Amino acid sequence: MEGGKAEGADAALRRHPCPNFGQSMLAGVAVRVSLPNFMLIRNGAFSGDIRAGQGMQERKMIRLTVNGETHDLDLDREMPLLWALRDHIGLTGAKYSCGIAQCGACLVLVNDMAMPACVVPLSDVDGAEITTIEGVNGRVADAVMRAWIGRDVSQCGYCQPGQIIRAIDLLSHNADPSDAEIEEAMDANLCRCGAYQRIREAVRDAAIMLA
Amino acid sequence: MLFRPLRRPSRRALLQGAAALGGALVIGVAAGLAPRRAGASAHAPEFDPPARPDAFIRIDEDDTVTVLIKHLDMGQGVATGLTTIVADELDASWEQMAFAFAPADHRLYNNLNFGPMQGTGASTAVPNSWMQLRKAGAAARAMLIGAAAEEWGVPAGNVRITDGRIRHEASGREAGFGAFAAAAAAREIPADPILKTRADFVHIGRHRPRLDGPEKARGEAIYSLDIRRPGQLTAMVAHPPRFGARLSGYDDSAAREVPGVVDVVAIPTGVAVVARDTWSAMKGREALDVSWDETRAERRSSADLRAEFHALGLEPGRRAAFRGDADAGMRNSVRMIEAAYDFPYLAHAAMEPMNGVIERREDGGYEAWGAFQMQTLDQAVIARVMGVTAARVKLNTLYAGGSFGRRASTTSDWIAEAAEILKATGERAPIHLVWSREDDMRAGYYRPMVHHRVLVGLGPDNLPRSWVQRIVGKPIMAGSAFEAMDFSGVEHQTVEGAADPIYAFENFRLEIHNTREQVPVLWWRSVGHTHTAQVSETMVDELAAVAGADPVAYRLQWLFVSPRDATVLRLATHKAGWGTELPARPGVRRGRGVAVHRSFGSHVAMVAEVAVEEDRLTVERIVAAVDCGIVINPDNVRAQVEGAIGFALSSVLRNAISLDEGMVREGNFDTFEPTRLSEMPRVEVHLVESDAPPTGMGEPGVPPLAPAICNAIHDATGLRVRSLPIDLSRLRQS
Repeated sequence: MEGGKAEGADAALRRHPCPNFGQSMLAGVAVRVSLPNFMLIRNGAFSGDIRAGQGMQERKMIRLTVNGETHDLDLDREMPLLWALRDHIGLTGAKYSCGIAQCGACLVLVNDMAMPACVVPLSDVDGAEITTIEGVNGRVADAVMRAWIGRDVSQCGYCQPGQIIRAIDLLSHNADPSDAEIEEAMDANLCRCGAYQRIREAVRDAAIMLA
Repeated sequence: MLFRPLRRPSRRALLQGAAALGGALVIGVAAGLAPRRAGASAHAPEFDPPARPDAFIRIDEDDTVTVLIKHLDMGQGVATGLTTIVADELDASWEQMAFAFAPADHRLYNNLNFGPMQGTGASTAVPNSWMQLRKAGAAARAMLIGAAAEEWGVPAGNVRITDGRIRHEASGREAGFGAFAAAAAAREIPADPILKTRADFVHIGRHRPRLDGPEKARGEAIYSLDIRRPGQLTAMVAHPPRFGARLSGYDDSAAREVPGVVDVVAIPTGVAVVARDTWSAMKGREALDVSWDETRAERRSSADLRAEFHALGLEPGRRAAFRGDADAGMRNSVRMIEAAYDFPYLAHAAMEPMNGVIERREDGGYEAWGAFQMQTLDQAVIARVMGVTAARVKLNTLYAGGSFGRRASTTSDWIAEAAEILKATGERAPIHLVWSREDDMRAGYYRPMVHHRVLVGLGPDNLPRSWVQRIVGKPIMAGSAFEAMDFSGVEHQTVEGAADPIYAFENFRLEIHNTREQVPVLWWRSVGHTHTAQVSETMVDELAAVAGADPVAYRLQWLFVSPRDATVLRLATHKAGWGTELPARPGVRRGRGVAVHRSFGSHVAMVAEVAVEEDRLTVERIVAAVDCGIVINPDNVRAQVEGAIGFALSSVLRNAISLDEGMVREGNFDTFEPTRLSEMPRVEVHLVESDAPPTGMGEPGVPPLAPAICNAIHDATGLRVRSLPIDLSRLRQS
């Protein structure tokens, strides 16, 4: 059998220091997941009642607030957030590429933290506030997008929504990142066109705009 | 921002695949109607296509000029580049320019380098369009001037266009393009419009921002994975685990129980699960129980193939190219250098996995959405599966989320599979075929696995008397619709970059062995040059070392027949500070290496600076010099070279697709990891001023990278690295 996406996601999670994604968040432990560091889960990030979904068989509606709009979804609780966004809510800005949290093309903000929607099951984000590339706004997002356009970063552009979400996440929590901090944050996002030189420069440009 | 097409379709319309260009007033006749043929031009620098503004240019009432792009934009920036060419000859202002992807139409949109085929590849988009679009722009300009002159009752010679405004100075009359678009469209197309000279270019050679930049940054660009047709179903296919295996049976009872699964069908390439959404299709596919007939499948491992390739490399092969008398040269040699090189299969691993949408139209024809790179073939393949003529297949070409050659499949394998599923499901609903990353990486169509063997004979002066080279690998077009083009048994894509050395070596012979393993192979960004440049440029470095010469001076000595290569070599080494000391760092061995290579008509030299710390290799800096003729967009040339380096670096450092008893080991970015940002060297790109016709830059940044790095490793450590990817453990032993 070909390795499907779910199998890939399981494999990725097996490699992670925290085997159960949802429980690690419940425990409120700051964990760095996957190599290279993919996402930083901070304390107290989740407001939704995640416990309710754990281990339960019957379907319960999932409530998501996406870009300020509330959606009650009757979907498989194991479905990754990415497919709910793309196939059921109609937001295709977050991209599918690896399905195992290796590339960052699917990044969205979950309660203001960048997370790979391809491995986050709906049960883990019930009640959460999601912001996709279509919904980002504010000073940081404006600066990042202006910097991206100004440097002509995009080539094929497919990974760029994820790159931009990552940059917004970085600059929202650290307005003046060092080169090493830029590298560490952006290293989790793959760009097969190899536009890394401009990604690096654009993040720096955005930081200067925000200073 | 700058990209402001008129009547921008809504996002919903885009997702549903509505044509991005609707209802525009057109210069000339609508694309697709019988062309009015213009006469042949007297002067023909490269190509002499007829002036066809009607096929390529649309002018709206609000002055927006939309250029129809016949090529796929997979990131190389061709939509912006081709628009720039038209804008210049039209003397339009940049702000009024827009683009749209052209429909598939072999009568209007052939790649002039490919013959009767619309398609993108071999870095030909700009070179084959250069005269075609200049003539289209110049003709449209003449037609607008003619229309304005007639309306104003003044001689056409007194009407000028600058910066998008049509002006008659004496009377002070002035208008935009939109006011005269209809009248201009009714005029006869001039057969031989007057083209600008280079000194008059206003857009070409200047920085023009990418027209697709803003929508890509906002996440609004639509790829085929984003298409949502009404009632569309998503299909995922269980493919055989080995190349050449066939379906022998399957049990779909559990798959059909998965909520959301609508149908399970057998197709020639496997078993397709068709579902209401992607997740259900994935779960359904996992629940399938499939058995395969593997009696005729490829069961060899990479090591088996390598042993067979090596054995062939020791045998004389079919002569592919020669100069002088290589055998006589060998007899006059007093010393031999013999070297073997191995290159693995490589996956393209574009960020957007292969996918496509197809549906039956109400008129009985078919319509498909995808990143079509070989429109004429894609159209023909769909037509064959569905049993209609190609004219009844409408293609909508969208942005590609990368390709690097993969979407120019010689068999249109991906869209053929989508069509087979549509047919097998009774054409009831639009089908979106989606491949997972693992499907994409394990489907074959790799850069071929290749083995080279080189024997160089040296005279008493340590200079080469003879160079004999053998290449062992599978021809790309074998077994495809393109095979008929391979008349001689020597496929250009296998030997390019090796068959015509840039160095003036007197006696030279290239031989090939065509292998026939079942692994499908394909062009992969810069194709044959991915391996031939590594062989020639590391071997020339070895020869310089044997001769006790500086690698740059040694190359220049043999480059008198290739002045453009010599120029980029001089420029790159000058800018890189060749010959100066690299500052020492404790515990770190540092080195510089150089390589120069010509591919797709462009000339690129690179100087690499590396640091080796135990078995850790860091590529710190790349200085590149480029001669690609007239530069349309300097910033985009730089971007393509930077990107080529970022793209190819992981294939130098670690990437390989390997077979374990026929099964592909790698499946995702964890085992086939592209370059990451922290690995990206500082890149400088210097451009040579040139009056030569423009040549492509999508690919030529790839070939010199690997040999420049390997030569730098030699400079740092004394270790000669020939095969790719670099075996880092050998660095520690050195």
